[in-house]
Amino acid sequence: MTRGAQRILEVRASDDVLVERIRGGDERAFFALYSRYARFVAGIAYRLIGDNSEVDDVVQDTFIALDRGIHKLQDPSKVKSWLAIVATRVVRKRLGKRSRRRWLSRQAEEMVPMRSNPNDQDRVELLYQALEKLSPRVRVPWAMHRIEGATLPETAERCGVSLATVKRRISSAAEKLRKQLGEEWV
Amino acid sequence: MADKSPLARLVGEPEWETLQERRVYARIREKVDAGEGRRAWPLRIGLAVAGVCVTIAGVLLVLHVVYQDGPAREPKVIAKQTSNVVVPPAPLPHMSLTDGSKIYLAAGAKMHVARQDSEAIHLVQQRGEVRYEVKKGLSRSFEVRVDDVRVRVVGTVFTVAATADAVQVTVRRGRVEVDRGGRTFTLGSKEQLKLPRQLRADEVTPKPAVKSPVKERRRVKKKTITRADLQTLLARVDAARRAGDLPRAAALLRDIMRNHRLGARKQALLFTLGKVEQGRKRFTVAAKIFSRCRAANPAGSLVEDALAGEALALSAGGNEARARALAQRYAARYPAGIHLRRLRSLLR
Repeated sequence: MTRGAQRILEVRASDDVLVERIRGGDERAFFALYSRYARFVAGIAYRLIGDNSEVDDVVQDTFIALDRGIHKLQDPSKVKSWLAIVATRVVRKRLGKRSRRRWLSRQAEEMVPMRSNPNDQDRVELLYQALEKLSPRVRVPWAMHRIEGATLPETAERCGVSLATVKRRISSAAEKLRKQLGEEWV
Repeated sequence: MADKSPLARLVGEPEWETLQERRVYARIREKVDAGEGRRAWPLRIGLAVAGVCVTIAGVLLVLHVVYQDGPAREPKVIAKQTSNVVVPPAPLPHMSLTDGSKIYLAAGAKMHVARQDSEAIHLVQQRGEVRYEVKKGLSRSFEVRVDDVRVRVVGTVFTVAATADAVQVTVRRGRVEVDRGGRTFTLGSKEQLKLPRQLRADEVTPKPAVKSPVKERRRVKKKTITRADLQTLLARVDAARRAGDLPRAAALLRDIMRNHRLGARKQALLFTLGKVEQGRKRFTVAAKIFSRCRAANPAGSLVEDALAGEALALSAGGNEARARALAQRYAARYPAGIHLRRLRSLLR
């Protein structure tokens, strides 16, 4: 088979086929899956964190975790959801580290969010500044549901908690944001 | 998942380009191949125990230093007129001259005191970055020399950075006069001047890097640009590039940057301009633009590519020494970098 034909097959192969091939040690399949979902993972990281500073690292850590845990993946067709769960966990850890660093240095880190419309920049900066004051435990579910647009069951799955817990955390975050920003955002 | 929420549309998408995707993949491959990230609990537990021990030792050491009796530590005084000071790589040491002025040397900096009396203090700086905090209100003159550059001081705080090819004077507070080849530049607070290290016979007198008030007034007020408008302008640039009209592409890019506030997107535009100038075989210009691109956001996603681009442009422009230095820096910083193969010829 020519290299071009092989590439076409990789592009068209379904997730479960790619996962099976990765389990067999196929690097091309790993790259094909990476190309398919790297942007998706980057999007989650960006919208949960609010800037580009750690997007590369989140994508990297997520796909390293994929390599490490691919043999434990029970349903290969759900690799996308699995990546979202791992990316959420990686983001939560990083936000935790960030808030600990801030607590130690007692100063806010500079964020440079990029907006699709620069006119919205001030509003979105305000939102992320408010989110920075929340703990990752409530911030991540809120951002996953309200910004990323995940349904409540999806949010619960990605955050690794029950539906009831995720609702409680989203509500808690919304209450804190309401106090800081008013009704507009929550 | 449903369509994007209004908030998601407002927040937008990350900067995620093909180059970035390839670079992150190279990093993942490197770590996966090295087996990094695999569970190594015994090692982690060992490291955690060692960390706790080191922390306890640190706390005990701090308590010992805080509670021990003894004279307060005074900064070291350089008293001899010709003493040489070579600072090893370490945090900034702090020294005092006899008139009370203070000197902070960055790691690797070298300077010596040529004259020190009630009338004058003359210091000679050979290399590295040194910050001077000069005592005000004294009648003696205070002068720092780097080769033929003389910096005369009247009560001030300033830094002199002497690299292999330039001397840069940055004034934090007060005022200094910099004398070079019969020409004098006066620098005020928060002004900076960069001069080539050696004045050649054919060299024109350099202009100060300080922005003049006239230029400040003429500066174009930059407008905010929406993503859609920027895409339209960049489509014109792409069309010019596809048509092979590189001068027009470069002019359009410069125009966009001159007239619009681009924020974090500026780095991407500078990178494109660097590529265009490289295509025009204006290698020195391209190298300068890649350098600006790196400086625009040192933590940005295109720094690796700009560093490689700068090294290759310098090499093509004939500046082999600087190109090699940058290639070495690239290899050290990105051992699995995607441009390493292209830079290999420079590293030999």
